[in-house]
Amino acid sequence: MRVGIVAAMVSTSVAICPDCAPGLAARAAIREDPELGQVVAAVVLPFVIVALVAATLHRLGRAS
Amino acid sequence: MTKTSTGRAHVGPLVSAGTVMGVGLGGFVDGIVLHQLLQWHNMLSSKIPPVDLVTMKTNMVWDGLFHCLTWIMTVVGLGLLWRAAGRADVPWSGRVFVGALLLGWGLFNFVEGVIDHHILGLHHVHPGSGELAWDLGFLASGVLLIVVGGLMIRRGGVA
Repeated sequence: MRVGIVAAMVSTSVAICPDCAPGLAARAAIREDPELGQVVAAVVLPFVIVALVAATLHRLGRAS
Repeated sequence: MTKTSTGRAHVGPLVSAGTVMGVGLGGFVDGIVLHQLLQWHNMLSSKIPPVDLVTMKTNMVWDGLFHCLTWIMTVVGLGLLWRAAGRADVPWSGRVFVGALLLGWGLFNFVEGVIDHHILGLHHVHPGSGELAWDLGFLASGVLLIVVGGLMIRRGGVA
């Protein structure tokens, strides 16, 4: 009985994230994604554009 | 209200600081409200639908990158505001600053909407029937915020 409880606790501790099976699978899926670079670029792109707009506003404001 | 040492006021540093902060804070509104509280979409939910824990966790990683970028924009905006505050030729106007915050928020909604929702299709505001209407509404909110912010900057700015 006690062995069973301990075994259950061990298996539970193994399954706790960040090293749980879904966590490992998600990280592996991201690492192995052939379009990883494109996805990163896609997430970053809007921020680059708005930063450029802000820089332009800064220059326009300085020139005014 | 206006502090100048040379007789010329430069509103640009305050506008750019507010705009960059507005982009960051507007991104946080999107991420916190639409991604987390309402759970309408995640960063890659059109490409990797979050139908189980693995795909949900994958989307959470990309949401995390998105929030990293919004955090960076907010901190950069704070730094720009700090620098602007130390300049005698920058008019210290609350209306200009709030207008710039709204301008930045609107810019974020518009640019992120065009790129992520319409061009790349990474996610949609509210997927399902009527998703185009939701996406267009998001763009419209961006335009509205840009117009209101621009007007506030114009009225609060010092020539």
